[in-house]
Amino acid sequence: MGTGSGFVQTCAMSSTPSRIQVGELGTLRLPDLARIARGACRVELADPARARLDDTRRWLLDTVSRGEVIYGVNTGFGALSETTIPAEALATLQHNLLRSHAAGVGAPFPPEVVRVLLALRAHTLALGASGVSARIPEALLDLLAHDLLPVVPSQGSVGASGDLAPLAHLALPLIGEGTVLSDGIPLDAGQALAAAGLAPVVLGPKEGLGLINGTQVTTAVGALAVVDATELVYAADIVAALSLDAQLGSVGPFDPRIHRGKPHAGQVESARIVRSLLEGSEINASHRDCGRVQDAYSLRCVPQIHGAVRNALAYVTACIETEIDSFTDNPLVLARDDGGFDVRSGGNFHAITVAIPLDHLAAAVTTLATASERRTDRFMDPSTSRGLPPFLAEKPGLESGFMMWQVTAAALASECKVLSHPAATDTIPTSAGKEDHVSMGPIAARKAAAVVEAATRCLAIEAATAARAIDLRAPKTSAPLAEVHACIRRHVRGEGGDRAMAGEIEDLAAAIRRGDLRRAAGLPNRFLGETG
Amino acid sequence: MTTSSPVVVGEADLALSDVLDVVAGRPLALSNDPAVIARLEAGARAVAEHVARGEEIYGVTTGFGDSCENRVPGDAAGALQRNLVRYHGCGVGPVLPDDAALAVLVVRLATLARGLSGVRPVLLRTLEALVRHRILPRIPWYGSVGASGDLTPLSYVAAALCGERTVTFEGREVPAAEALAACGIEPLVLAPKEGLALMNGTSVMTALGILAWDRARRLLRWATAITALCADALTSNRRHFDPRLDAAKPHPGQRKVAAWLREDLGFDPAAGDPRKRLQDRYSIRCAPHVLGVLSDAVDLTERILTVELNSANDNPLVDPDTGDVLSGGNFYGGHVAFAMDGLKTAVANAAGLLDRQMALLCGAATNNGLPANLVAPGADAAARHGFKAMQITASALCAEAMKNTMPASVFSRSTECHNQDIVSMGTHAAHDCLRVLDAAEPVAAVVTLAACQGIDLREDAAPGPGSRRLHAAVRAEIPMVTADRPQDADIVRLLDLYRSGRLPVGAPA
Repeated sequence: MGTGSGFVQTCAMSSTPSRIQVGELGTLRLPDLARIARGACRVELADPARARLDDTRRWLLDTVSRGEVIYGVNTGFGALSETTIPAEALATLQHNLLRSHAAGVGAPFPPEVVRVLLALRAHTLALGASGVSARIPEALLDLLAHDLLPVVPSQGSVGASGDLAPLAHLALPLIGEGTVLSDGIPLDAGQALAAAGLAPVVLGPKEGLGLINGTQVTTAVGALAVVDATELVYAADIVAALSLDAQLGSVGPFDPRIHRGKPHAGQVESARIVRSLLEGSEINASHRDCGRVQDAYSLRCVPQIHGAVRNALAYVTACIETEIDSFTDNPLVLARDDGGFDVRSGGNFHAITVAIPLDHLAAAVTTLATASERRTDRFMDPSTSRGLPPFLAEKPGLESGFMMWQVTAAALASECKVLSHPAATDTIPTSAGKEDHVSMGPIAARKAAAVVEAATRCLAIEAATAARAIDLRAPKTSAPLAEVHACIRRHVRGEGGDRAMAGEIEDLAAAIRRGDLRRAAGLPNRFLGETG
Repeated sequence: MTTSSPVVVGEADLALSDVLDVVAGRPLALSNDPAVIARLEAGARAVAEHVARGEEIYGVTTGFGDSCENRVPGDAAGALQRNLVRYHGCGVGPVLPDDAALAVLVVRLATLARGLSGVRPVLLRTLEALVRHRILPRIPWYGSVGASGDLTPLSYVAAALCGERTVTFEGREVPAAEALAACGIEPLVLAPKEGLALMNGTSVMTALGILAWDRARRLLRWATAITALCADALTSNRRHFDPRLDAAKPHPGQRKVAAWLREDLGFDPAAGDPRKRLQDRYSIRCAPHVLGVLSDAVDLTERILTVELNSANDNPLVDPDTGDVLSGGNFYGGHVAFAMDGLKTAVANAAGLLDRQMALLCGAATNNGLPANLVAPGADAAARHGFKAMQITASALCAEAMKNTMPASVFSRSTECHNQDIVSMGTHAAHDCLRVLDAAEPVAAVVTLAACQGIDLREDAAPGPGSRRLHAAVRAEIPMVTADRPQDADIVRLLDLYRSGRLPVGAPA
């Protein structure tokens, strides 16, 4: 299982502002996260957010100076919450929190994930219910602006009370401690800040807790997996259409009347896409009267299978977007209508709200992989490929053709299945039993990202296989599928004969992640708000 | 098995087959050896003396588990045991079948007869009487985390001995007191330690494990016979089972399965094989490697369960020679959990192998000239589908078997105020293994029927001696499929034949 790095090459193309504001509801959308991940834009604190932060902060400091006891502000943490901390130790308390909670292990998250983490944490703090001063989200955004990326280990969070350990690693550089990456080189955070002309922050009451209590690791890794998955579900429809044409499959099962008869939104959409892509195919016209009645499920049931994944993805996307715009800290400083504030302890740090959707995403995307592997398999044997040479080889026997690519697809599909075991059904009590039910959200997120990555490669194998099969059929495919075929050929060469193709398949997988096949087919990514 | 010689408990170690024999009707007797009885009495006496001296002994003069710091006065020591049995009466789910309940009694008796539990001979005599009269505690499936033993399910054994709760007796659910009275058995009044000694241990998971082990080893032999039958129906290349291949990778199970295959196929390596195909698909060629794992898993399971069966797995133990009380963790079912988690995976893999053989038989591209879906020839053949839906049934069952293979032992839950902060889940692993077998056996039945059909349809079929025997036995009861017909009853009939031992698939060794 990886660290969510599969995302690396995703990009929603230009025509979008180079500045993004955080701290207002709805300002940070999934396509924005994709651009932030690539370091392709400037992220700033919205002005209204700054004013809100100042008001809240003033009230909180007054309250503390009157000696009132507030959890995590002038008490110990977790099971130590009954211990009251004297005023002169309040800053030490917050600094200790970051140091003691930086207990992450394992491979660090890639730069793309860390950039999104910085933006998401600044955003939730700037929404104004954490009681931190404006300089805290600003300091996070300063790191982002200078591309000084904290080294954040990928393991060590149980996803409640939030992603404590990784977020502590994310926050340590703010006080000049820990390690940052600059241009890929690890630097002592204190020295890196100084070199960039940035001063370390001295944390006031609550500010350490405010930095680390929340679900941003789960959300960041999950959000990037979701973005990749949106491209994958389009690629699955497109590549399935290409396979269907190359298999001399029937377009009949995509008749809109069938799908009006079972009108799940995703199913209707997948059927529409496949139908439109096959329109005008000479291959399809050539076997209209062939007498074949029904294709195998992996071809005939594409709208039902891929459609169910589309529905799942819509649900997961909505959950992630809600989480992005959430107060995930605890306790929260909540504004009253009369201008005052209340401090309320709750459980918004619990990442189960995204853990369950991300478990769902992993299972759904696995279905794309298993269906794709079955379609790839049908090209291997003349009895299922309808007359194509075994393994699509030019000289079967002397050459093995695509034989091993089906094996690789099977290995990937199996790996996806294993990673579909839910993470959120497990929970282990922590913190002396006080945190007695946790979400395992970051594990769900990393697993979902790993499934998306494997499934993308599985689709790339099918795409290369189907493109080869198209070349072996005499009549032409449809115009949009010819564009798709040409796009595949930009990455995977068309000549026959055995050759080591691994690098070409990796290139094609990267192209699928970028949405190249979708754009070649002329389709907008509606999950990310594009319109056609 | 001879009904005249009882299985004697308390002397030599028991074999797993002894437990199965008692379940099948062989009598059981507690040893009459005076040395054995004296040892039991010495242990019980040691407990009584500790109590009389007012000493602190876990679970005898203290509360249980996390409550072990509570001192219980000597005059309440009996009540403590009665309460222990009663408050554990919180099992849920269906009641264990009769054979499993009986196996639990035998396994618990074997444990207590080790003489290290500090119980009186009368307790063992009463347990022996329950076995003799088939007075079976009604033990619910769920409620054990597998450490400190199968407390809740074993409380039903203890309750039955005391004449509490209900039992299954002569096919009916009756109050335990009524069944005991009908057989002239005096209900037991628990002495100090005796409730704990009855309940603290691994006897439920061990008993279920023994039943699963027996089914798995029998399925292993059947799956091998089916593989031979499929190989004959497909005219597979028998040279894949050349003994030189197995000598070159000598896992014992692989060698055993390959030898069985040679026997069933009548394959003489020296005589060669006229069959043409160079290399068969893995589900035939690698059958010794897949089923060989099951064979080795069966052997490992037998070794582990035999140790567990002949162990004192309660806590604390009482040394009858010195009277010393030893607190430890022998109730922990980790070994059984590991055995069952491993066995269920190997059984599911065998089901997967058979499901793939079914696919070979049904596919016209893979069955070497047989009709697709094994449809018998005839003018109306196009309107018939033969074994098509049978294949789907096998695949569905196979998935059911496979999805039950998630390891149970890794799902430890901290419980009982964090005293039992890591537990074995061995009983759940045994449940899983039985469920996997429930799914795998019908897969074997389906593939047996399909392979017999394949033999019938191949005009020049030349099955080996094992295949001929199996085919003849099936056909004596179940006709070939010519016209399409429902085959659900055929599957049930074949499973009955198999489970009653009348299907000639060779003896498990």
